[in-house]
Amino acid sequence: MDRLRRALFWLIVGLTALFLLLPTLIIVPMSFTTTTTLEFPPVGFTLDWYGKVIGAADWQSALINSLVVAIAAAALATVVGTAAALALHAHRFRGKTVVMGLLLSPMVTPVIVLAVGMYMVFSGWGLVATRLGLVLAHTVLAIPFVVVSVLASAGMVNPSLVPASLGLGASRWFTFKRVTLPLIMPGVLSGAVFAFITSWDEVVIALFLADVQTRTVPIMIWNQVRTNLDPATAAVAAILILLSALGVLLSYKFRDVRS
Amino acid sequence: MNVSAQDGAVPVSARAPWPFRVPTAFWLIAPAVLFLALFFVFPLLRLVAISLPGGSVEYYEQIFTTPVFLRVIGETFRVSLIVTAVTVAVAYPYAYAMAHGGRTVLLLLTVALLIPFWVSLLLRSFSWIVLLQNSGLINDVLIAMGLIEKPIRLIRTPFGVMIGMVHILLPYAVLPLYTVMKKIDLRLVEASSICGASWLKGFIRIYFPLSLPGVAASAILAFTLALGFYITPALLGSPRDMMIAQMIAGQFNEQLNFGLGAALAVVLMVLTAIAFGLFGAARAVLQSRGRSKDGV
Amino acid sequence: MNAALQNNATTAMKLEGVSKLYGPVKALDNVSFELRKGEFLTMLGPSGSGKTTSLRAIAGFIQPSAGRLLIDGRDMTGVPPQKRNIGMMFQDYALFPHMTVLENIGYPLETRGIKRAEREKRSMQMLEIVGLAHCAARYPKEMSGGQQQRVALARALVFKPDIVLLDEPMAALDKKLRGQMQIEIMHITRQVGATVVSVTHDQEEALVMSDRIAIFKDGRLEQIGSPHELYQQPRSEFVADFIGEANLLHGKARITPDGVVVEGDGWNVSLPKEDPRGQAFTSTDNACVVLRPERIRAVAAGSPGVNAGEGVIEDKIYLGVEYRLVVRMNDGSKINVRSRDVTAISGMTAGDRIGMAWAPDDIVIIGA
Repeated sequence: MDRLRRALFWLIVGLTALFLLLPTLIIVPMSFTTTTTLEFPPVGFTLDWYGKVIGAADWQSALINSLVVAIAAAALATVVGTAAALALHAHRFRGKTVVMGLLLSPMVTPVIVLAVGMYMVFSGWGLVATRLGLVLAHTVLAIPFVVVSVLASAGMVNPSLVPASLGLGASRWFTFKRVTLPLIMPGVLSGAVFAFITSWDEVVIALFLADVQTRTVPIMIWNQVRTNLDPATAAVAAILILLSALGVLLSYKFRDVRS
Repeated sequence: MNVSAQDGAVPVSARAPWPFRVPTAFWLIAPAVLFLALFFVFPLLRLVAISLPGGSVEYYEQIFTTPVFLRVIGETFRVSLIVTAVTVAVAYPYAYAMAHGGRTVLLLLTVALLIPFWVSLLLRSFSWIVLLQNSGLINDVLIAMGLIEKPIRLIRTPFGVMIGMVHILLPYAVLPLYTVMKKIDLRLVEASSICGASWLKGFIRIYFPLSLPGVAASAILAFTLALGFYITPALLGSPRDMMIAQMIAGQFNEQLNFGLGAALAVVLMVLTAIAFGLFGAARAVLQSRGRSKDGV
Repeated sequence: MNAALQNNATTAMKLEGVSKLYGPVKALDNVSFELRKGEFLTMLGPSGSGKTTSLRAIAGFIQPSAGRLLIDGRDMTGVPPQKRNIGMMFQDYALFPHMTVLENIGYPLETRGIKRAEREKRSMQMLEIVGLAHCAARYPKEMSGGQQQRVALARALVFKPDIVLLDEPMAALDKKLRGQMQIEIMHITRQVGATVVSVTHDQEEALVMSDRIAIFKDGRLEQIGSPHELYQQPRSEFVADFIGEANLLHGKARITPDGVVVEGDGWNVSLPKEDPRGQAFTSTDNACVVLRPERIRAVAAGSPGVNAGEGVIEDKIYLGVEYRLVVRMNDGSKINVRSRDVTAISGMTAGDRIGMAWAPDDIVIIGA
């Protein structure tokens, strides 16, 4: 009875883990198939689909768009978000909860609402179908991740280090450079990685703001998935997963922030 | 250490891990606030304005009197509720195993949880299409097991949408449950059994009530996120099972009825805000439980 | 042991060769003893000695790898905790945080299908016994550690279990409360006539509360007996050292026509022929002598006699009611002396030679 219950429990947990992993695990093998339809298990082995993707002009331009937008958005969100997080951590002021709420709310706003709102506003400002528009929109999405990440690492800095440094005769700027910044750096870096991945994977807003010239890799995938499913999509997906994995490894190397 | 005597400087806040004065703080926060005001708050306000042309509520009237809109809103709620229930039910044993299964189990299950968390939702929906299609792995396995004779339709059905949604929401549901469960002392369950309670009785009377804050948090989080789903239902569902996010997109992309689309977006925003407000309220209530009942 | 023990009517529980293996580690090694009805038995030992494993095996949280456990004559193998009718007070009490005090105490009755009215009546009676009737509606968090402990005790006793287990009952209390709660728990369990098995690593607690003490070491039951027996007749150096303060002197035993003599460098112990402890001696090998610090008399140096010794005072500490001396023996070993004989000691200082004497009755010889 007891043993049966335990066996059943672990069976359920194991199946859940399989359920979680299955979709991710099948993507990469599928990209090596020699058939023209997506099959799992894959048939044979070929790198043709990768060659096809890397050689195609539209994929190349999408890749460049994605990289430019993600790097710019990550840089902008990291600078702006880190500054805000430091101030939020260090000071008490009126309206702090409101500011905090504002900085984090893009995380809980349905993306479709943001997408149509930005579409309406950005079209008036001539930002639709520009990389700048995408950068600004993705920065909005990324700021909360940077703020959370930096706040977490700032919370672990011993607060008496700064008075100690000032007491030893260091200037404020010198103290910031030599004491504060190195200590919060892991949070800043993993915030930057989060920001990059947020933009890199984003599709809904991009669907509204991008055109053929400015479209990103996720839009290409979206179009492929909606029209014809071929193994080239799996090859792109595998490349994206690889890049995400690299990013994750980087961010975990800096510090485990999410937990 | 006190530095105020140093150079007559403004005292640095005791909590500050960095050395600047309060006015500096203002200049540090200002860019972020300004940026979000311009590119986040303003677009949302603009939607509200577009949805109320000349102060008229006609679009809202239209939404709440036209059967097709009501059906989509109802469908969104229905799917979100079912998906939330399934997600939390699946997340519960998983989180339990993470919380009480020992270090190796925790590590393995965390990895299994975070790998899909890091792969974009678009790619996972894509993967589910491949898995669920007629010639996909799921149908192959079911046929091989002799459960079905010919492939059954799994994509372009509400079932397909729900599978995809549960998969995406599961990590969000597991984490709050795990946080609460790992604080539950298993000796309470031992105490229950030595008091004469069967396993089931102990679960119902002791463990489950103590895990309720986690259940509430994960259910509301999952529900809030489910309401706004766009990619998964668009890829895995049929147009007949449309959810509100798809309808909003449709008003902007195809119908070009911006006012109505904006009104729908505002409705979704309000619903999400209400659900999230419930989240905060539920947490506050559950946290205060058992702390001061006697004092009142 | 006692013949009455064979009588089933007085035996509450019996362990027969119980062992517990965790891989190659023997957490419990062939432990056997009996628990009498109505007695308060304490399992005492350092951490990792097997006392807690024994307790958890009795409760049914772990299954022994070998041996049998009988409660009231019934074999408990495979019987889950909830069917053993055992009460238990956990180390940090394990009170249910979401239930009131009254609900906590009523829980074992609830699981036994007793109706609410009856449940509350009996829980209230129990609360009165532990002196917390006014706290019935409170939640555990709102109570002090001592109060929580009494609630936990009430929950363990309310259903009149066959055996009550106490897991490190004083561990979560501060030192001041411990003494008071030790006596209180003893009174309450006696009052309701409970059979108690307690676990502790605190010898003082064991001495205060127990009818009998079982001493554990490395998974084995070292010795079981009343506090008096263990103090007066320890069967091993470990027990002698663990119960009370002990000086252990190592010497050679010699059988003489008059009895047994154990000698070291600058000291000796002599037992007359009729002393049963001496009769156990057959060999003339190494022997260990236990000398309790308070049983050593300070005498003038330079007159070594029978049952006496000599050494150099290394430290002299005045504690008000008594003096405490650390004396270095000729072979370099150190022994403690506690004496209230102010006139004999006040004149001595560190570095002086001191003579010591003891009565044969105050001596225990181990290694027979």
